[in-house]
Amino acid sequence: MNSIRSKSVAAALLLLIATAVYAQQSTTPPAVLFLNTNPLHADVLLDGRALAEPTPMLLRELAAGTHELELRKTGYTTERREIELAAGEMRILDVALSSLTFAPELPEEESIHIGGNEEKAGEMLFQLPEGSYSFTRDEEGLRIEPVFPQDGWIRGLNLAIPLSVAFSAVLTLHDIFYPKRAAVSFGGDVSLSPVTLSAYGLTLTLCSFDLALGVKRRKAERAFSYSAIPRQQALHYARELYERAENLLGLGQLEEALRIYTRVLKGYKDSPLYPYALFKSARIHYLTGEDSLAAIEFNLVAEHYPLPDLYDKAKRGLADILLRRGEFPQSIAQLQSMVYADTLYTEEGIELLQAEVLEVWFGEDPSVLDQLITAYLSLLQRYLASQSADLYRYKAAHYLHFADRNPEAARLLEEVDLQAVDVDLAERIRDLRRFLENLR
Amino acid sequence: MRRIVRLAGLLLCAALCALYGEEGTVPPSGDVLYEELAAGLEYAEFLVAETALRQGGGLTEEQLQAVTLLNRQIGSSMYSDLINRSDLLLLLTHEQMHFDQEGAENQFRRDRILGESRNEQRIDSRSGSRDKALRSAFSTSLFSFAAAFTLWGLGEIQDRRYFSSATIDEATTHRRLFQVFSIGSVVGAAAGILSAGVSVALYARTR
Repeated sequence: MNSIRSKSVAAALLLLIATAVYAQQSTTPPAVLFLNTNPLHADVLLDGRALAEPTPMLLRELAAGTHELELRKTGYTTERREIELAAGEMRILDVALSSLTFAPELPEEESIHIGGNEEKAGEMLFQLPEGSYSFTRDEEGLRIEPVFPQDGWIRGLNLAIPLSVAFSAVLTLHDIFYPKRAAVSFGGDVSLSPVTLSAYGLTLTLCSFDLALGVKRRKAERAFSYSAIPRQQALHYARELYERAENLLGLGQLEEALRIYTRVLKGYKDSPLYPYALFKSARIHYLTGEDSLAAIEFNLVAEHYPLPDLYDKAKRGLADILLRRGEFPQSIAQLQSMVYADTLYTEEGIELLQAEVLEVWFGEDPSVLDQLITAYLSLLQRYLASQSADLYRYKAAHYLHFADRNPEAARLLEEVDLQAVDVDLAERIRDLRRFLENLR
Repeated sequence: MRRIVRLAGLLLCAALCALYGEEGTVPPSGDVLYEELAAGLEYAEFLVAETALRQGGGLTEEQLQAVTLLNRQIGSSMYSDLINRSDLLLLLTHEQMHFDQEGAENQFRRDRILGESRNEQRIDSRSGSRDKALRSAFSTSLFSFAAAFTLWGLGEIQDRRYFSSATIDEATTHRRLFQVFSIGSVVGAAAGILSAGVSVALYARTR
């Protein structure tokens, strides 16, 4: 009987522990990862699983622990990273991908010869595959020739093969004039010593390597190709444009700046400055009242180009536009999806902003009063030590009064030390207190 | 249904712009045309923004065509501010559509990325093992040739000692050693030639 009881107690304990562990696991906050590459739009494999969208991306539901990342983009080296994330951690990972081509810029040259082809230089940018090149100048101009990586070996073999042949010949003569009893006989008078055989083997090996290298070099020469693009299409030219636009923006020439940001958007989709140009364009449209364009751009930045320093700003921009349009729930949803990667925003500040959106909403729809009261009470509860706690008390009391919950409102106002708040707020609190007392 | 209404609206504003832009019809005054085009563009911007902001609502090919048509009409006007705005709208619509389509083709895209990654890993691992085999075959070849030469040299020494032996036993020993070294030398040379052949074949297959 006792044994059954102890077994049931043990089972219950086990169940309790398992439940506790499970509960702990299920409440573990996920980690957040901002993943970006330079250039943009690299494919991502996370723990061997291909993700649907390219970089940059915001992964919000990552489990704590070690994750393997593989970043792939055509024309660039594949990068692999292993990251360890703690529960609730926010990590920013920026990976530079190395190009498999290199692009010499030769603005001073009129024409150049690449791999035997004559090309106009100047404003063109040549993209040559990874490898070694020789640059020589002759009377016809600059010549860029690819260097086969094993050229040194071929030169060495060209020296070694004649020596090896000569050595084998000497050994053969030695075998003919001084035949040995244990030599390898090929029938009749022809017999070779093992060393002569080895020498021939070595010569044959060297010749075969030489032949293989020669074939490979010819293949490489035939496969050599390069491309030429106008210099202004190169990704680094986007920086020049972007900086020009920034200067214009600094001078307050919004329209001109916008025109140049648009040029970055049109021609440099892979540039790391693309999201910034998109964001700046959105800001200008927002400032000039072109809300629809601004909304499309802010949405693109937040959803498809989420960079740590832009994401929250874009979400805030969207929230402002939606507020302007009177779409209050959507505006609040945008604020709620912020991740606070930008130090400009605090959770308290954004929660206050949500409450303020609710206030505007309340002006149009009184049915949100309860939500509004809850928002201010929650702010008060969460940020009791904040400098704005008395403001939250006042606001909560103000709206509690609207809901005819006057005793609660009065209780909240009694907690305020009028000496500690600014004059304007103190005045408002005094007025409300007086009003509530009169009601009583 | 709502999408159809929006699309119809967009097509209507594109058609209106086309009508005003068409030669042969009574042209409205500059300001009226500008107002019409600006209103059409604003409406198109509003519709694209609406679609982009709604969760799960993707832009359709027809909407893109309507925006393209509008862009062409505005492009043929002389209003540079509208042209710039319309160009930007078209660019953003393309961009939004690109992401919407990528979302729709999720599985295909994922399969492609996964396939490329696996293929690259397979090539890397194959090339790694081929490099290892090439290195071993090449060193075996060098070692075998060196052994063949050394054993041949040792055999020659035994041969000379055989002739200068003082006793029959000593001569027999030298003779036996000479035979052992000679056989070793032949084996070394054969192994050298064989592994050299293997290494050349492997080298020819490397990238």
